[in-house]
Amino acid sequence: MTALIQGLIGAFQPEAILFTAAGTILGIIFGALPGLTSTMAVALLIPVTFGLSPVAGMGMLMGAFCGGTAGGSISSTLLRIPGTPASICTTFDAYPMAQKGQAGLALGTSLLVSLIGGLFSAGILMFIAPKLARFALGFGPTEYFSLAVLGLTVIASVSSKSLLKGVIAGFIGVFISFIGTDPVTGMVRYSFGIPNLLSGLNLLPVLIGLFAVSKALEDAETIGSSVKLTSNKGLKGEFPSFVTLLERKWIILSSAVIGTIVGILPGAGCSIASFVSYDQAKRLSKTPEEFGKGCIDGVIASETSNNAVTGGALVPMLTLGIPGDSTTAVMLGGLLIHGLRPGPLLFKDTPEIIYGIFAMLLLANVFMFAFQYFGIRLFVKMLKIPRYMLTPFILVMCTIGAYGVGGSLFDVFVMMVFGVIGYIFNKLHYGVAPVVLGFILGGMAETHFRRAFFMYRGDLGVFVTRPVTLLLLVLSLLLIAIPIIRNHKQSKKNLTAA
Amino acid sequence: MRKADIATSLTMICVSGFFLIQTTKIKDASGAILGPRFFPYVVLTGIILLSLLVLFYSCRKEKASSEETTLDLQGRAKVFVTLLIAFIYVALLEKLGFVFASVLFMSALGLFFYGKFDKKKVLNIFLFSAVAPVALFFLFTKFFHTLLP
Repeated sequence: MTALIQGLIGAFQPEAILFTAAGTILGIIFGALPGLTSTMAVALLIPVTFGLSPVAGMGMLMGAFCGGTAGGSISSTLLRIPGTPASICTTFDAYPMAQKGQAGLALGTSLLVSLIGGLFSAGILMFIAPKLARFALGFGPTEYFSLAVLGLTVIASVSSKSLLKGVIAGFIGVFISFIGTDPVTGMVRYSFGIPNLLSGLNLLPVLIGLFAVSKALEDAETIGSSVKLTSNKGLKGEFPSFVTLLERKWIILSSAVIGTIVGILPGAGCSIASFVSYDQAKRLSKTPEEFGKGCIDGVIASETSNNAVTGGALVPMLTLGIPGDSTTAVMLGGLLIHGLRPGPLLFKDTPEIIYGIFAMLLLANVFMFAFQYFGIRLFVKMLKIPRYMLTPFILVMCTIGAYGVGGSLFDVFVMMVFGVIGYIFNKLHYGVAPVVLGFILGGMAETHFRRAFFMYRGDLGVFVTRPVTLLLLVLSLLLIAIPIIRNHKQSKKNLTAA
Repeated sequence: MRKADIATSLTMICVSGFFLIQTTKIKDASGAILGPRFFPYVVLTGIILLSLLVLFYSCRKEKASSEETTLDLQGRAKVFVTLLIAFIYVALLEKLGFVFASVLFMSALGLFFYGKFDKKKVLNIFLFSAVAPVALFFLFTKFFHTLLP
């Protein structure tokens, strides 16, 4: 009870409220602008959190996460370009609605269901996370190894374009985590005599490079092309009637549940949640033939689920130190900067910070709703910011982020190198999310496997005799097998059709 | 895409081969089976085998009639110049200081991206490039206590 009160006091400090609000506004801007993402917003805000309290810093990052995810609906509705990958499905119906003169209704609906999805998953987070953290206190190295393997195998399901390339990217991420001093024996690996590499690569410059710099380089390719906005004179958000929402209660509920579960799965993200719930909503809808032609059900499904991911993704990140998606992978960096190691001990040793974070997530969702509703015309104006001025500004912000970590130019070079790698990997459909997952989870998997090997004197049977370890490894095998079987069936079908 | 896949796979195989050789040089005083070399060997071998598969599938693909359009080449040239300007910026960052280096960087890149001569827009670019780095410097160093060159 004391920790809860302390957490709430920390959450309602002016600093925490102000920076959560600022993070939310920036997140909405980044979400609304095509080519910029909530992950990028979070990555760029990390250096800003250096001088803040952990609760204020996390509040700012969660504000950017929630705002960025919801903000994507603005350009989806008005430009037919998803502001973020999470809003791809929103485009299918929100833009046709705008063309029918219902832009306000599309935007208002997106906003309202984003709030519902976000609050639903925040509630699940607050209910599940403490219980999972208590359960995880009993985890040993075998459980942590199998959790890391589970997270790594999700690469198979998120590598939508090419499973093979996604796995290669994941392996590359794992290999990069080996650079530096071996945590078990203290031997140096792949430093090539460079002192900066003795402790390995810093997470933040790698993340900023892969997510933010690579996007800026992709943007550089097409700068100069103009965007056409649908007419938005006198635009303001209109909410659907209560009856409309009540008729679609099962779509809203199923989308919130899907988004939360997908968020909890390590490595999966908002775009997967939105596709799965869009598909599910078609089954539940009374008018499935209207999907893709301006059906409000499609907008409801996509936007409820993508914001429901925000709370869900925080569950594995806070309780086990395993990111739920790429944005929480970056947030992990934010916690580490404050000397806080996510995991069950964080709940045990500093529960007031956990309760503070829960409160900030609720506040971030409320801010997201309020700012996007009242500031809609301003955010729409942001869509007209010339990219030839915005992209250099973003690259300077990236430099601040990378340099601010340790005051070293080496980190800025690392960021640029990974920016190039991220650009090439995106172009060739290897993806950057698998690299990040591999980088974060690879070292964890190796360390815990070797610890378990030494602890149990080489007895590998312990990986099948411990029930939680066995369950997680079986789940991992299923996650690898299902896409392979699905792809195999699809190629057989294609051959038969041909 | 086919040519790019072949080139990337070959590059990955060569780089992984190089790191495999470097792995043999890692000191291991413990002599344990799962020493510091074990997992790098596994992962690098995995990268090589999977890249060989990608290479195999890419070679099997039919050659496209025209691999690249003029638009693709223009875009790539823009990326190359952006990177060149960015690397020069990073190299000069500590020598010139954050503010001056960023003003030069944002002006150069902004003008390159804009690519035309419109007095008003060019003036806006210079103005924004002058104001933004100064504002960021004060915000991050005085308010957020972040280290900047």
